[in-house]
Amino acid sequence: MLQLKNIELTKTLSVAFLIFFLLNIKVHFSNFDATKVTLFTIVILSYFFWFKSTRKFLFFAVLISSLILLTRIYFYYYSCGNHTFLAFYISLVLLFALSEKHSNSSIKILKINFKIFIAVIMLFAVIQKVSSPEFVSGDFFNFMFSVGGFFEFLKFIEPINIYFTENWNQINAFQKTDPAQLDPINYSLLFDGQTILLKYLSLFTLLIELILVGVLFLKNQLFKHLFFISFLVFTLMTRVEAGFLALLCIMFYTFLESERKWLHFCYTAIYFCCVFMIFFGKGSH
Amino acid sequence: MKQVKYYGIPVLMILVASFQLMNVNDGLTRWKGGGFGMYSEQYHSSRQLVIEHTFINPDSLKRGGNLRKAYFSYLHYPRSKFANILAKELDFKKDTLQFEIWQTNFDSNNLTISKTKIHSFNLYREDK
Repeated sequence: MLQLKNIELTKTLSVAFLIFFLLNIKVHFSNFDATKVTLFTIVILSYFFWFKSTRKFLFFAVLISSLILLTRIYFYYYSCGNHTFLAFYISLVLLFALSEKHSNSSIKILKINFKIFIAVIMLFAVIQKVSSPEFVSGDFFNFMFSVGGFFEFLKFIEPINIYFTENWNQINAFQKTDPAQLDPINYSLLFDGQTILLKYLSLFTLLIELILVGVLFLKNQLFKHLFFISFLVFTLMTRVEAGFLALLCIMFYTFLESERKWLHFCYTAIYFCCVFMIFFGKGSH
Repeated sequence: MKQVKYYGIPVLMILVASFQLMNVNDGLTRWKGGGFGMYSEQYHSSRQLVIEHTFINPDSLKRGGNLRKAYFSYLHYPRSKFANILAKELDFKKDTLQFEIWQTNFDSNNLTISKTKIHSFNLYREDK
């Protein structure tokens, strides 16, 4: 039973990854329609005519995804977002896991790799933020908040929406004008204490990213997954970074050993929320 | 082989991220290049390119074209390789070309938004 569950987990994660990949390719590869259609027609046909097992089919499909991601990284190395790199690493791990005949080995590969991935991502995210003066000073978060880049749900409140829109239009015009001919412009705050609050929010973000690394090594399933789910939900509310969060969700789910159905439901709901957002072109991905 | 399956890809991830972090000092944006520095500084759209005192507006560049690709590559990571491509695509005839990158700064203390030159580079004809 345990072995069957493990095989299913590897397949489930592969399917979740492929859904993410297909939707992401829709956004980023719009100039390569012919290539895209040809490749995925081959993948779909191969399922019926070539492969006799789902595992081999998934291996082939993930391999194709991995090669497409590698091509994109090769040609656009310094323009690729971090989620493209992460998707490529995850595809390689899935290939290793799917190539294993013993289910326990494949689940061990997934868990070890994903645990290190998350720790590395968070530690590098902290190093990058600490070494960035505009992050530490709180200027960056203040900028993002002032133009409506954070907490987008606040746009439903009309006065706040007006504030965000005015700042956005002002900065947008500022950024499209010859920089040598411009004098500094002023902006207003939405409320007293905004600057200090956003500076604390910057520092709080650093703290949460460090705590998340520690939580990875906790044995208590309930606390661990409540923290992961809260992290995903609050990050999604702060900034709709659907692509990266869908990948984080896939990795967090790997560590779920609890039988609690509501935890499984939470991860599934967050994952589909992210992929629907990618599909409808909402947020960043 | 087991060790490669367990630790090979994380090692690759750390190498790529370290390489990206080292290049940040040379002007590479933290958002790109696999260093996981998203949301630690202004997005690349806050950077502007000026060649020979002429501001290049990205809206005027054709989508999917080589010029647009070279423009954003240079904005993300100002290297002579991308400056060469830009010079060829823009067909500048001068012996020396001056490239500048400006960045929008947000100062929370003075409540001002301003522009600062963060990079300057001269491309000589023999480099082209």
